[in-house]
Amino acid sequence: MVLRFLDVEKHYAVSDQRVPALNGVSLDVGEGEWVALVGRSGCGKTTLLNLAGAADLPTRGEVEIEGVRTSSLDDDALTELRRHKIGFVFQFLQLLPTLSAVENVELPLQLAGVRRARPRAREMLGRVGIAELADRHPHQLSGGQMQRVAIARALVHEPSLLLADEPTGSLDDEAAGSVMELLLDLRRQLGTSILMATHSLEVAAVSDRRLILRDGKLIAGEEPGGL
Amino acid sequence: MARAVLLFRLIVRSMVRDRARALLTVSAVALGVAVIVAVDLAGEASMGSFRSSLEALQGTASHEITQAGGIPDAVHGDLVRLEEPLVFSPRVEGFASLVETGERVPLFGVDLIGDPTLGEKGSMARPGTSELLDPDSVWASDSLGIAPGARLAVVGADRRTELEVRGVIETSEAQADRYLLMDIAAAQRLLGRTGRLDRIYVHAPLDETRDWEERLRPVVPPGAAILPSGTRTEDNRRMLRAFRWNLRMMSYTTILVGAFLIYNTITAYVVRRRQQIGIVRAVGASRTMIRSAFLFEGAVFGLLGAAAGLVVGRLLAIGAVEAVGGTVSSLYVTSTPGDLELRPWTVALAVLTGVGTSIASAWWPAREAAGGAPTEAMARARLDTQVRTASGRFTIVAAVLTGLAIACCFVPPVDRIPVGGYLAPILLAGAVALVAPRLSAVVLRIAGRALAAPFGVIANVAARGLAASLGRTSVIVTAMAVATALVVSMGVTVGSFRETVVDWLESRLQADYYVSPAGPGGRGAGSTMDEEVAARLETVPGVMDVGRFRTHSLRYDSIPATLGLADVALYERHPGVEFLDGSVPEAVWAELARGDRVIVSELFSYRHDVHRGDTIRLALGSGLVELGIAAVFYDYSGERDLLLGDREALLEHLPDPRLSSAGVYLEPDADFAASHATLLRAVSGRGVKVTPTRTIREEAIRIFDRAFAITWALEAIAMFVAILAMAEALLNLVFDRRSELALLRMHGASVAQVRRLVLVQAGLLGALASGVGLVLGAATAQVLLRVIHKQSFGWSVQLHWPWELLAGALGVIVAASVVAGLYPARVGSRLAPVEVLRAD
Repeated sequence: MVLRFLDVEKHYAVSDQRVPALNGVSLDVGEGEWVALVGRSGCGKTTLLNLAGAADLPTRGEVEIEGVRTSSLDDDALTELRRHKIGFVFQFLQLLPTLSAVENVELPLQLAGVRRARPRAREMLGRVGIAELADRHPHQLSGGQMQRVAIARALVHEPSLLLADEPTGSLDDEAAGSVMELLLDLRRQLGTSILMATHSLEVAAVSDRRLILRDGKLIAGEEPGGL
Repeated sequence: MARAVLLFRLIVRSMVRDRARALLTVSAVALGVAVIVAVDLAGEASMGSFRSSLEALQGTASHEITQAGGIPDAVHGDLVRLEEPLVFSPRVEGFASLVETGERVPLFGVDLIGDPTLGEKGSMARPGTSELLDPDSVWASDSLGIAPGARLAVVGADRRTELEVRGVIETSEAQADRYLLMDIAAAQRLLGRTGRLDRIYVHAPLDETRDWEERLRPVVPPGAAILPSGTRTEDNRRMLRAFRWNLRMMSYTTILVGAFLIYNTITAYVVRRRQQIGIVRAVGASRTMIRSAFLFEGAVFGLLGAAAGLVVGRLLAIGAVEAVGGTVSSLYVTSTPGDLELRPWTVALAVLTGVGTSIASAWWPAREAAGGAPTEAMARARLDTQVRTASGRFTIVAAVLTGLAIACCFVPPVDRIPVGGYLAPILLAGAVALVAPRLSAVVLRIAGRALAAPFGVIANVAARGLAASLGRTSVIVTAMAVATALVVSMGVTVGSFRETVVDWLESRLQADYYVSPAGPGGRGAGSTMDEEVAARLETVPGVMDVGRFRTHSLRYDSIPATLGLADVALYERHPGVEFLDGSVPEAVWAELARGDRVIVSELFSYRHDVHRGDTIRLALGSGLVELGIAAVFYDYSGERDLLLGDREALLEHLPDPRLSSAGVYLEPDADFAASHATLLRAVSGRGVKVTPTRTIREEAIRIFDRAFAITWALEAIAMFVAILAMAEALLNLVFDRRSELALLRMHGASVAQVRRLVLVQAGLLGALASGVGLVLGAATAQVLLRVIHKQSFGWSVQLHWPWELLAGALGVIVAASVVAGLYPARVGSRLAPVEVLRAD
């Protein structure tokens, strides 16, 4: 199992008040599986992805990434886990504006101390179909192109789990479709597990499994009919 | 009222919420104001001291008569016989050393019997006739703490005498003058000036406005000067003005550096409140209201800073007055520091400087905040884009400013104040501020690539992050560069000056020992010794030559000068004077020996625009003498005009054979150490001291170093403020780019890597500012040496680069920059990426 949530709760403290974001969530994501997480804004999707990506720790319960419990790790170990096992794709704040496309893609490799990262980054840009845009900066790319760069960056270090937060939320239909095709293709090639948050049923439809999140709780799932 | 509420909500609440940053900004203003206040207070206290001791005895005189070499007693008699309603107060002025403490105090000789003006102040009880007739009677100012009836051993001129304190003179608490008073005849004897007066004050009736100078002129010798009373105080004040101006200008650097910090702070506030501004504008706030709000914020910083600066400045002044007072005493005129007085002007200066600078610094951000449409609230990117797109235009303006700065260097001084010289570095700093964005962008691009190989992607991201925030980066680079330039320019200037002075002392002081009247010496001592001392020294075995030297104070073209009478024949064997104009020394000595020539110091030549071959008219003794200028020589002994002539020849006009000092030249094979004891034995019983030349050189350098100690302190404070500005700017940078830091963390950057990123940025900013500061500092040093020093003091200083000092200073600046980045780095590395991404 790549990812496992065991009765996870997450609370935030807002002005001395505990605000629950997730409440008793349990889920599994298998190897090479694509799971869609569907729900309205504010239902806890991003919180769940943050916990899944070892970017945050649960208030209660356990999150396991490839069998490693995140709550047992210190900050450095969590960073190591993110470096090697996780890839992130966001709706906004995708790329570092000061770096070119290829530099953005090679960033996770360089942070991990990988030598000769540039050829791998270029290869990955080739896989997402924008090799010719490698030296452009984010402000010189369209929304769809930026998202492809972000996907390339999320996968360049060959993580076991790709976490995508509304990856097509800011794109038009054509670009969104193109991105989804790309993700499907890459999953086929790399065998990476994907946990994707979305509020779009169309987007969710391409996944192997769909989970519905409402007010911090998983209320239904498994089949499209349950949505 | 509604506007006040808005101001409070928009500004004051934010300041309170962001206390740390507000405190940092107020501290920078406070330090800037404190330095200005301290320098002003210390300068005034040092000035006040010599003014008071002279004016205490001056009374209500309207004129004073002086003469190079002293006024013959008979002139006083002639004046008294004038049938005019005038009262004359003769004075003898000198210094006496108190044997018990070694302190050198002014000694005044006054006509205790015949001078009616002495009773006017009522500060001294009238003595009895028997006491007056006693040549050992002396009166001491109360601040000396000597009780009436005490015996007081003093050395005046070259003789030790024991005096009896007959009474105490009350002085005001504020002045606290320390001086001795004697009857004029006794003072003349003690100071070796029998038959001569130093000054005669003229008291004219207040209700008569006649040209008294015209009336007095036929009675006094042609060589005597009749000057409005207080001229000497005014001379001293004028002489000190350049010194004080230089200090004052330096003191303003801190507030200038602080201004960048204020600009940064207000810009950060504007950027962070862009949403608020947009909303407030959308609901009806006018541009003026928004602008006023941020200007008000600047004013609050200024006001708080000024208040704190006054308090800190008053404390700093305690240390500063000691440094400034010591320098004034060593280099200008003997003085005792007066009280530190916080006058209304000082308070006004503090408030004006603090508030004025703060409002001026807030002007641009306030304008920017008010400038956009309600829906287009100012974003950081907009500022950076503006800076980037305008950088080409900025570069052109910077070139114009540099041209103006060069032009300023050719502007002549205004009343000895090098206004053009002061303006030039300010214009250069302006040019640096304008060229900083483009320069920073280029350098950071190169640095990013260069650092990527050894330091990894973090260095590259760090450099790019700085380049992307040009609006902030260029401001902090300018602030740091200005502070660095101050360090570099002063390092080069002081280093060059010191090296020049060391060389000059080496060549000028050729004798092995110098013999002079006992006492600590110093400017304006005017003590003399009998010529017999030199004669005795000549008999000592191993002594090759004894050079006799005498100084006289005079005025040329209304400016005080010193005429030195030297045995120029000795200069042929012991050349100690270097000429600017390539004159051949042998020819110059031969010309001087004729008695109708003098050589003049560089300062004299510069100030009066006279050169080799010109003729000047000097009031020497009783007459006016025309003398040709044989050459112009280098002199760094002080800020007073100096002329040198042959003693033998000029004794004709100034017949007093007493000496100010004597230089002892030993035979080449003489035992130096043993000679000291032999020389001391030869002059035993005379109140003179025998000082090895090495000691004089060391003392001169010690005085030199002390004179510049305060400038180093000012620099350190300016640099400290620059480091504060750096820390604040980095903190803002971390805040502005927190999303990117969070993104990095999400993609695998460790806490240590984020920390390193901020520290690399700090180091890059420090290195960039050091480089720019080095260039600006080198240019400023040229202005200081070739314009400001030349116009203020008339000295040519050979340029010496103190490489080690500069390398050390720049290293410290870069290291300090990295230290300044520690806290921002900690903040950046502790950002919770999830929280940041959620908030943004």
